Amino acid sequence: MSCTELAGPGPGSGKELLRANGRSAHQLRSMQCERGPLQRADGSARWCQGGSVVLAAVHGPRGTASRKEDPERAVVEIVFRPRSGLAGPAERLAEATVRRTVEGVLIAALHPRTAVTVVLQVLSEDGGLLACALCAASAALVDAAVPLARTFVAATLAKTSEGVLLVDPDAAEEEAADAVATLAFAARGEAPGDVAPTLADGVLACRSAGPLSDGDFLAAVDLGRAAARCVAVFARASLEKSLSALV
Amino acid sequence: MGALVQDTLEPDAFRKLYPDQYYARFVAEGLRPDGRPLLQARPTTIALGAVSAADSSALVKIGNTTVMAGIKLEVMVPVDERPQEGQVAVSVELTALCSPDARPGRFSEAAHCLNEQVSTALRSGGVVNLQNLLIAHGRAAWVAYLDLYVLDADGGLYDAALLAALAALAALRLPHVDVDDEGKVVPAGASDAAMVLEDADGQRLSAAGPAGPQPIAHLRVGSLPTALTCALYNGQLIVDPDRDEEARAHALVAVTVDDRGRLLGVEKQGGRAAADAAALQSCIAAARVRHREVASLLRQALHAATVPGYSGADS
Repeated sequence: MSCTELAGPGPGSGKELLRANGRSAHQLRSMQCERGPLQRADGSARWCQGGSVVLAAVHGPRGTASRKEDPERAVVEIVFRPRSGLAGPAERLAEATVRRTVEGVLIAALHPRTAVTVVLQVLSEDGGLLACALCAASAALVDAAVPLARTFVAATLAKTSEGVLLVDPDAAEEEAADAVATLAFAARGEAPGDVAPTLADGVLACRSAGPLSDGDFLAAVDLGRAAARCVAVFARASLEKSLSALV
Repeated sequence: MGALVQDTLEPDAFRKLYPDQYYARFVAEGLRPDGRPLLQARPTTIALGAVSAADSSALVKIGNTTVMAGIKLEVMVPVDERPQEGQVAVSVELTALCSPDARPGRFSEAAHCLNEQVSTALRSGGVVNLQNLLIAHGRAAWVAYLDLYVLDADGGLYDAALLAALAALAALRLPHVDVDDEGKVVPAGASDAAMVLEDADGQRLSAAGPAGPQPIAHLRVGSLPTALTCALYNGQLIVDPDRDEEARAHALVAVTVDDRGRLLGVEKQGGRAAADAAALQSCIAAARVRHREVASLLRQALHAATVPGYSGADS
């Protein structure tokens, strides 16, 4: 896709800096999204962000154990499976983050006493995994035609020890970074004729770890929104492509 | 609908029948059902040394939320990749009595999340310099098992858990140990081995190794990270929500800051409301105000427990 390089970065951005992987500081990795790769799920998507690949399957809304169901709304269940081994604390925290993010956009009152289950299987891991999982979940929910108030997209940023903010870091860059932040934004409801998707002002989900100054954090939020907008443009294009293939 | 019923209903019935309207009316008046202003955190206490069997322990209460932290020290062989470092292993348990949702048995999602959040904060704040846990280079090091027990879950679990973990780590004393001729780790000055470690291939642990055993009375913590959970509700910021308020909040933002003014983490796990830059900034500002309160409480507690380096005065 064309929009992987952010336009008009902020002052002192170090845009000209070339990373070890040949990208500039504000350049995303190439994305791929395959919609509906699974036959038995109600909706599915495979989201590739450079070397990180997450396969998402959505089941539901469907009945669930009576202990879990809510008489007034649909509940969201997330299963996040690592590439190998058992899910540990990091995966459980990712599950909680994706669950609350989906709960924020799902029109849950339409299907009381049901559950929407999203299964996220990591196929390959190379940085920015949470953002990749969020994007995969969003695409799979759209594929399953679960009623959503908005869709969402996410992006990852890393602050290097030199103080440069890198967009969409790979695993090596995350490892070396002082701080890593993942930001998710909801796409603003758009009119049918809109050319490009726009994002809501507020942060839907955010997870930063590592020391940052206030200024760095706010810069990361701004840069994260710009990067997420690129992702949203790509997600929109990929959806249009898959829909036109149906006609 | 709320306006119609509120004149004729007893307050208690109004609270039970229309919990959302009940809460919204409080917040509109700048108050909360427990009488706090929106930006006031609950009273907090830190009790060090609550468990005598542990090497270090702390009982933290924030309002009704109660978290117990205990540290047990054991000797391990450092992993090959990091021969100069010990370990801190965090584990969190939500006891079955802490809330109606908690069940005994397997670790719940909440416990796993809390574990990851506390571990991340301790790591990114550089709280424990793992090299301070070294006994002999490549041969022996301390592993600190940091166990957190949530005894009463009334909101703000992460804030309380991080504070309890930090208090227990800051008050941790490392025993003076020697590595004797037999290659065993023994308490300094004692010939019979209370704590014994033999090298995997039977080699002797040498006291004259590159680093040698350096007696450290107290584990000095590198920074004092504290966290504050804020709730976003109808465009208002509500500091340190309790359990009911958390359930009613449109979104929760947890901010971790340390005594060097660094922002160690901002976490917002989705939710109905989005947080714009202004909301995030006010959460960060509230977390800094709260940090001064909590850090001063912690310094006083450490001073009272005669941990060196803490004067008891504010910062």
